[in-house]
Amino acid sequence: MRLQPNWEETKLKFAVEFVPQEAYWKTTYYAMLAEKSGYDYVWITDHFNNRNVYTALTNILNYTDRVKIGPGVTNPYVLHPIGLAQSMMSLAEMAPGRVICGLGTGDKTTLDMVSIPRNKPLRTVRETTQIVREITAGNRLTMEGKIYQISGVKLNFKIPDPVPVFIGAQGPKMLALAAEIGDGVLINASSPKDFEPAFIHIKEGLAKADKKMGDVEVVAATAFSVDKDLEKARQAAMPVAAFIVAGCPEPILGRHGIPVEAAGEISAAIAKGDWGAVFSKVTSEMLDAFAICGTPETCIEKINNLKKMGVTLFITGSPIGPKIHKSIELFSKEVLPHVSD
Amino acid sequence: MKLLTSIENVIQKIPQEATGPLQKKLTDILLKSKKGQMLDPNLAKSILNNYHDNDLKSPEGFKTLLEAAVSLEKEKVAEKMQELNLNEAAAQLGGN
Repeated sequence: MRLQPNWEETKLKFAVEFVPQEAYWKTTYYAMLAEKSGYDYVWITDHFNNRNVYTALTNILNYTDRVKIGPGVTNPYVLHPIGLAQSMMSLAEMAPGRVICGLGTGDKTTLDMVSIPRNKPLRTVRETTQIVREITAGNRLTMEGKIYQISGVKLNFKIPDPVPVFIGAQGPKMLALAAEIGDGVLINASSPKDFEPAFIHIKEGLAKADKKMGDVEVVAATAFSVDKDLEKARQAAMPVAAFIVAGCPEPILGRHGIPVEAAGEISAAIAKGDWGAVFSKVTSEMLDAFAICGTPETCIEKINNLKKMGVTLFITGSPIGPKIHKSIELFSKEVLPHVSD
Repeated sequence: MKLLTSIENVIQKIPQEATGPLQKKLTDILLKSKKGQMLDPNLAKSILNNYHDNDLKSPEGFKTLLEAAVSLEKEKVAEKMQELNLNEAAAQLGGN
């Protein structure tokens, strides 16, 4: 029994992603601000070294009335999928229809810190998606998977509808899988150069499941920074771009004409904690490849380009801008009205 | 109780027309503060409740914001008051 969401609206939707690294009340305040500013979704990132994602989401649900929320993204390695399904259902009980499960294979750096191997990511995501769907649908699940074995499990409470699953993807196989089995494909990219090949793999996945574009949300999970001052916007995006470049696979660096050696130098500087060196090595080309950053006008143009390519949901991801609340307000006043039709 | 009474004394020195501009500055101070974790949980909850209900501009909401901002960043609050020519309020704050 699979939920087939109704993603028929053609209007571009907007999400904001927060990293719960500040006091809980600030993240909640920002989420309320986002809702009041016209955003449709609020995603909270999930890393064990920040505040717990489900605690943050619970508090946000207590203080918002409309936005959809979810972990953006969680992984099935730290928390078993049955715990993930339980968490999703508990949230959905508070706000039926407003909870989405953002799922991905996790951040290798933090998983390595606790010696959790990122085994068989494709199979793990496939089976986790099935578990979340079946359990949140209220079904009793028996599953003899290659990763997970479950014997007749059903939770002791119900929610009106199963929780949709959006899958974070970057590589060709995960993109295809996300389109095949997901309700949404979260593409971790900011440049049209990365979206062009992504759409090829998304279409492959859709064809495999006899689905069409429009059956899934195509989500641009971007590194975003907006400010009236171009330089301030770009400066704010620099640390995020540095981390993306440092962890970027060679083919994607090549796609953007960024030498592997340059990425290696940034990675080494990050490892040393030499932030001066890190920032001096981040080039304009890197910023343009891995972030959408600049004045409202620049951002409008770039968002509209992605919309034309087929993106249906745009995430303004970290850092959002030099000052989060100012940038959300600026986005609402000077970007949103020009990109949401 | 002492802080609450003191805050009320400060509020008495702020003309009604200045509460709007000051409210924005207090919000900025709170959101930029590196001491966010030290905010009293009841004050944090009160700020969130007031913001949810669009009541941060109300007398009760304003008092909560001021009390919270003073508890974390008293000097910065005084600076912003002086920028808005609220010198008596700033002086009252300094005297607390």
